[in-house]
Amino acid sequence: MPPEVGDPSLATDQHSTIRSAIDEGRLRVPVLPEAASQVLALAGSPDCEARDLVEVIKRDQALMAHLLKVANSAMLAPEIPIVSLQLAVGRLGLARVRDIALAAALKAEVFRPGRHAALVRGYFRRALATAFYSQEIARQRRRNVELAFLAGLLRDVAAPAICALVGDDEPSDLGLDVLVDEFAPEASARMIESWRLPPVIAAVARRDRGSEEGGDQADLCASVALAAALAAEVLGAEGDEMGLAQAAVLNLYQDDVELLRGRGDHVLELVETCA
Amino acid sequence: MTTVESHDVIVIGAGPAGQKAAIQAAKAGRSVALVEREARPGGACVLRGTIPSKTLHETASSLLRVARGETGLVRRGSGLGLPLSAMMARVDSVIDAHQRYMTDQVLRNGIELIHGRARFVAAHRVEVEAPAGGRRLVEAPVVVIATGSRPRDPDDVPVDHENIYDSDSILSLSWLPSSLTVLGGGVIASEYASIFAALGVEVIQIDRYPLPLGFMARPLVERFMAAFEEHGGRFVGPAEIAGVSFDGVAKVRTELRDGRVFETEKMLFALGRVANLDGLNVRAAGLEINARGLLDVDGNGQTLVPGVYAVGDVAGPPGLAASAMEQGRRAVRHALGLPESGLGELVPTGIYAIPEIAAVGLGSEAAAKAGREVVIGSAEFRELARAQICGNVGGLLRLVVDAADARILGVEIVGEGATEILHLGQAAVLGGWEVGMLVENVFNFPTMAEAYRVAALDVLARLPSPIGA
Ligand SMILES: Cc1cc2nc3c(=O)[nH]c(=O)nc-3n(C[C@H](O)[C@H](O)[C@H](O)COP(=O)(O)OP(=O)(O)OC[C@H]3O[C@@H](n4cnc5c(N)ncnc54)[C@H](O)[C@@H]3O)c2cc1C
Repeated sequence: MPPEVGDPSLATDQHSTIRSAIDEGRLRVPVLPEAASQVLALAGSPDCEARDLVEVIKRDQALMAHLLKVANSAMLAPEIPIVSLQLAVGRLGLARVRDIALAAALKAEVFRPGRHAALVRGYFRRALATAFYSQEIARQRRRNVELAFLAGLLRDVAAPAICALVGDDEPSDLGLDVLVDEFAPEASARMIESWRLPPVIAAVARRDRGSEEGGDQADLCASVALAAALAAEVLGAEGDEMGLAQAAVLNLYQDDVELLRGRGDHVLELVETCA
Repeated sequence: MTTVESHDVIVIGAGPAGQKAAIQAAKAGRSVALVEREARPGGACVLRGTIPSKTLHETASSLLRVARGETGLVRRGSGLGLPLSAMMARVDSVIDAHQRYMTDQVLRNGIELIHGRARFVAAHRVEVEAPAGGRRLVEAPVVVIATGSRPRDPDDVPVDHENIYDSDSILSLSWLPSSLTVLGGGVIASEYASIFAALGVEVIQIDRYPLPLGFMARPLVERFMAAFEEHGGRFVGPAEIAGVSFDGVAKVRTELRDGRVFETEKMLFALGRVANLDGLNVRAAGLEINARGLLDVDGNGQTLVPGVYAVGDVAGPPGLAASAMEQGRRAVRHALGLPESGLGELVPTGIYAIPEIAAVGLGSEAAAKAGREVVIGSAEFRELARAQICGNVGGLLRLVVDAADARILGVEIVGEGATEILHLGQAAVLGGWEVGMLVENVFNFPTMAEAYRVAALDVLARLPSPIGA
């Protein structure tokens, strides 16, 4: 008989499995393929040039194929088909290509459907929508757009690894979701640290606002939390009141939030394009 | 039915103008509501303008000083490769300390600080919307509009805050770009252009006039230009922009009408600011927004509607925090029928470019235009021991002195520290000092203030006898 949601003994079991996996460092930290880690490194580098990015992507055939597929997708609808990476960079812009490459690399390695495939696919869409919404919020508030994207994309990056710890016949998606909610912050932060990304990205995953009220870290945490709530709305998931309440922390007024909601279709299109 | 809260004075906006207005009213014993849409007071000045840009200015100046000290020469590129956040490490704590101090000052004076966005429903009645959505009504016989300004969002330049920035978003850059086009020749454009150039960024500043900062005396601007060029900056003007676009890859492309094209990694659009009047519903107060997008006011900041004042950036130039504060204070004194001292009329100008430029009182060019007979005395910084010690040798101080009675009418300075050094000159102008005062008194040695003595001696040598004898 399939386990029921909230079966206390089962929940406790899973709970301790995941807890000890995190504490003992046994959580599967995906080794990013070379291309992905190089794209990540380039994303945080002052002198990322189109040339460098093209070189990195060219070395990974799967990544390149995905990128060209996205560049030629309905949303971006090029008049002339994009057949080369150089054209893609020229057409989409360096920053966009970098975002797509990053998303593609994560999809291939981190959000690879294994156990609980449907759920993992959902997490990937949520990560993308959160990343694109983080960008929208950053732009509206004149904050750094690239950092916001990265923080949004990686906030719950450990969700698939947590799912992988739980057997196929174990709790329902809902039960698993609860476990992911509980453990993803800590596990994602550790993963991000192991990839040596900027510490503020790990802090956002950990939901750690830092000691300085209104400082950059607190601001980015609140922005990504709001982005996640708006992403949930646009993906038709359950409402996230706590996330939406971050609008007030960010001093966004009702009409500012409505403006962001108005970008929902655009965000969704970007998600469909990259997912 | 919504209750209406009554006060003696409502001030909308807690930037420099609004704060000073509110404090002046509270000090006069009136009950004051200060409405601010941001979570804390400070305005553009603290959050997006003066303080962040001055923090970066300080870092750039320090790096330059170190570079000069090491080699005796200006070394370019001292900031390249460093994350911008590292160069502004102190900015959050400076803003925090400043805002704390201001909030304390407001609360200490018994002012009610209302967090929300104000909107007129009548001339003396304002609705305030909180970020979370609640609304309240406030009314008062005196309302001061001090809602400030923000960067203009142009139709023809695609400001995306990722490649093309405005002065609010420029400091969200992660890294110093290798090259930057700055559009504009005003204070903000020139400050950022010179700061980024000093940090080693290849800067091209483009404006429609032949020189930046056209309202400052020519010799000062020429010194500014010389330093800017020494740091690798390039000024292009007069120039008409034909188009700006991001090439989709990595370059912002600026085309001029004469066919020239410039490509840089990033762009700062710093051509003009607009008053924060949208959403304020000033029509309900019986006010019209003029053709320049501002509110018309008289010398006391009073609009055409009795009891309604507008001060600071929302009322137009000069767009400086110092004058905004003075306007706020003056408007409230007028509204409450308090006497005016007139002392605040002498507002100095300070431009925190590299090098700094500052002026107070009658300028040399204004004097010439007015046909006033003046004598101008100069001091080159390189003649001062202190300037030699600091490697601050490119500066210049000019005294503008009345030829008839030798009184100091104005001071103009360019060079590191100009905005501070100016204040002795301001006291001299205010006090109506004769230029001889600067020669007869003993100054500390070595100091930059010595420039005043040197310039005064120059004036004395030029003054017609017997004054100069
Ligand atoms: C990059 C930069 C550098 C600068 N450097 C200097 C300098 O070195 N020296 C100098 O003297 N000046 C400088 N300035 C100019 C200075 O910042 C402004 O002149 C000054 O802030 C104007 O003060 P203000 O009170 O009129 O407006 P602001 O400072 O803009 O404050 C207006 C306030 O009103 C609030 N507000 C707006 N609408 C509403 C509403 N509907 N309801 C409630 N609140 C509202 C805003 O949130 C804001 O807090 C600089 C400006 C910039 C952008």
